Amino acid sequence: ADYKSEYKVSTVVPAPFPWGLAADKWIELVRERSDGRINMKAYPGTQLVAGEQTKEFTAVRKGAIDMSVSSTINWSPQIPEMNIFALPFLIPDYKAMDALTSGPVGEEIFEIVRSKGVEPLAWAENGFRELTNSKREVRSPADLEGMKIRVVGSPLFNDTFTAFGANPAQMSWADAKPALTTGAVDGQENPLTIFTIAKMHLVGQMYVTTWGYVADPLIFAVSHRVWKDFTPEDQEILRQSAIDAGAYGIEIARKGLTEGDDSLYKELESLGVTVTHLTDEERQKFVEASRDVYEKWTEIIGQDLVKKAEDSVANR
Amino acid sequence: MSAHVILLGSFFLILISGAPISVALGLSGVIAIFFGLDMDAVANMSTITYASIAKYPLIAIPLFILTGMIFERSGVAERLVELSRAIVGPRRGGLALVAILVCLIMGGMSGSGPADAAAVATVMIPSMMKEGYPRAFSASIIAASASTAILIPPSIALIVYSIMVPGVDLRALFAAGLFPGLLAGLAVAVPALIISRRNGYGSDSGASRPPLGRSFVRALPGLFAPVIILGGLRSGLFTPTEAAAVAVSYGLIVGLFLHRSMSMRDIYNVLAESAQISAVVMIIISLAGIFAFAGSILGTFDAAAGHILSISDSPMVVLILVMFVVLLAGMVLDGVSIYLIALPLLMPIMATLGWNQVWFGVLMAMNVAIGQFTPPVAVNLMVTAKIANVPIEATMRWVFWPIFAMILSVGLVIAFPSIALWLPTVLGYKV
Amino acid sequence: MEQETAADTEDSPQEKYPFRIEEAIGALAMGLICLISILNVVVRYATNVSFAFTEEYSVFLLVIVTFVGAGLAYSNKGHICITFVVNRFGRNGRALLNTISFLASVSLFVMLVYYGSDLAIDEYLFEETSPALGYPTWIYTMWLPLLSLAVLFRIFQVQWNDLRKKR
Ligand code: NA
Ligand code: NA
Repeated sequence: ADYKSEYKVSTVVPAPFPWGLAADKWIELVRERSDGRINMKAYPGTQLVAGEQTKEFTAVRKGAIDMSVSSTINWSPQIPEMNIFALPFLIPDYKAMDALTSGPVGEEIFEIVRSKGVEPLAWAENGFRELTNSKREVRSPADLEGMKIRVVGSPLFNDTFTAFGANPAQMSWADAKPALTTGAVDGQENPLTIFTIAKMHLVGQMYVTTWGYVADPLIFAVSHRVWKDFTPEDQEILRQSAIDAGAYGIEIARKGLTEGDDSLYKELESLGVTVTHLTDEERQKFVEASRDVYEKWTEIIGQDLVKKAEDSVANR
Repeated sequence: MSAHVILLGSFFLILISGAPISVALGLSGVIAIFFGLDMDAVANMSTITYASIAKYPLIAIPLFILTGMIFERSGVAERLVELSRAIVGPRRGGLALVAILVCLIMGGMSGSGPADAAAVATVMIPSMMKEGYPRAFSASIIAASASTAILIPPSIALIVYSIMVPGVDLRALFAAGLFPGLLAGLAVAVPALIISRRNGYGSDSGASRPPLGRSFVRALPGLFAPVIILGGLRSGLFTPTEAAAVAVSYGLIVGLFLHRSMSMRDIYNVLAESAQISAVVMIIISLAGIFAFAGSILGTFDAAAGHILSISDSPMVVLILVMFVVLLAGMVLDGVSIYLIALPLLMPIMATLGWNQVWFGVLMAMNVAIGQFTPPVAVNLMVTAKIANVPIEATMRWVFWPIFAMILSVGLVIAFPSIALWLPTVLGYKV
Repeated sequence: MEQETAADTEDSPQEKYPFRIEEAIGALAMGLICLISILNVVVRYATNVSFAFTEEYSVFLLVIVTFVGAGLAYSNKGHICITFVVNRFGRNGRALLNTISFLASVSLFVMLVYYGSDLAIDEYLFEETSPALGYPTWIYTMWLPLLSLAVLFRIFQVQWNDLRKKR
């Protein structure tokens, strides 16, 4: 079949966020490698579904969106297994994250996505999600008591934050910034690259707690509606470009947040933000508070998959 | 034919056929998506229609519409009229001034013009007739001053603006609207007084002056409403949506217990009517989502923004041009539609030229306010002319002066942005 | 010219229009939105109980108010329209424009019925759940096509009445 003159790629945030940069890289590589035969354009803000990011997967599946670089969280309303990455404190570090995405868990997730009419190509990364708020330093669940926290995507987040004693409110990213600005919510959780680039200290988010309670991998995907029209050679170009763009995206998503390079934390502190790194005992309090949620959602996600994930993490 | 032409052309054709503006927006969007993209993209319309209104911050709109209607029904207007008469006293043009004052105070409870206009016109026009004001004159003055309801907080127009423009603080917008709103009120009052004096409308004897103290006490529950709305926001106690919920509760308490002017039956009616009025606004927001989707995905808005920016290097020239176009649009379109059509293409211009978002939001709201009493489509004038029982055409000769004066006041806010930005800055909001 | 229904506030509208089921549903939904919003404030400031989940209900009720009211507004001629162009035309021109306007409304809401059902059925088949409460989303979405159908009914009713009056 004829190729479209332009393929629409949905993302939530644009460049210079690592997420948007990864999407742009993919688009650039595909254009180069296909000698300009395949043209893609990024549509950030999930504007292709009027900002309703939890409706993105359905739109991709039905072909209303051709391609996407998507958070697993935003696809969880249609694919419950996606909640695996949001199980509180399942993933302790970057090594564990890599063990999941490049291991049997990643494979099984891709198989499920494929069975629902969408071709997954590669992983990228939004990052570990950290807690920020405008009220006070948070070191224990007691500090979170009664705080209204904006969350995304899935009732799992509601359960987790309710277990911590907070008051979670689900809304899209488009609605989140005004809500933080007006004080409709007190805090939010997102990777710190999102925090710095969106300048969230300017809307009063002056307290950051690094607890790495969940990770947020991204998936490069193409709707089967258009995937089947590409020649095998071009499918390979799309896939390999996604893998390369994903590696690039993961590198920038982790920049300044590793043991060797903690420049992003320094940058935050220079903005006057209080950055709180939890000690192991402090972190353990949150782990205990969310234990029941972990069990409940293990049932929903499927015990086999969770077991596979726990094994991958243990053997990383 | 390009998709841009299809989008705008079908919008105007459907619009002038007399179909609801919401339908014109939605259907032209669908047609343009079909020709510019494909049927798969059209299938997205149901998601967009739903998602465009399934947003929590929008809850403030029906709540503030309901607040306005409750205060309108609970007899607040009569008491405010009495108080204003006590303050102004019997003099030439006195009742015109009273009507304007009451409109301004009612504007502090209601988020849209027509309800404000209806409440004040019902109370004022009969007594203004008795004192020799021509009906068409009274209808014009009340329609014009009621338009300040979308400037003086709360304001439906500014809520829509804050939702469309990411990161702008609704509380800052509300605060920024107050002084331009009062300035607009003054812009109606000055010509109204001059015309009344010249033509000898209103008597300087005759009607007795109500006692100030007693009128003040009677008006107190009503006067308290704007204080709760603004004060609650100021103290950081309430978000705008919560302030709306508190204002609704307060209105019910005033109507049911303090004034004892409302029955349970009235409450049902107020709920039913506010539901329909909210729906008329919300269906525009919903279906305009399809139009906005088409305009941004087909690149129509980018192209239009590029054209506007290429006209002149001077930000002031571009601003005046934009203001002029919004003013013209206000003659035929309602405020919500103007925001939804114009903002996607104005936002990049705002960013390029470095305009302050709060200031620009208030300037747009001032133009939309003028549009509310500028024929041929003038929501406020429709209401007051009907109550005064005069044809719209009869108001033409009177309504010109407040239109002219309000355009001057827009010029003042352009020249002195601090008229808008001083208050939110002092209150500590991000502007 | 038809404009916002505030125009009718000086005479009692409850006697003017026949009772319509949409009116009662709209009033109920509106009342519930108020109640939830007020409770939200009370609960947030008086207790530490989590209440933000109610936002999912409020937003759904807002959709109900919108579509129920949109149908009513056809019956009550309450939609914001531009009619001064129509009024400048003669009989034939007016009839033509009226037909365009009628067909525009009908085709838009027919498409909403079609694509809305498509969406709701899809969500049912794929067992999509809501982001906040985890309910099946089709229980919310199905009201989009159903209420669009109700709007269509009102559009046809108004057109039928107008045609009958002309004869
Ligand atoms: Na107001
Ligand atoms: Na107008």
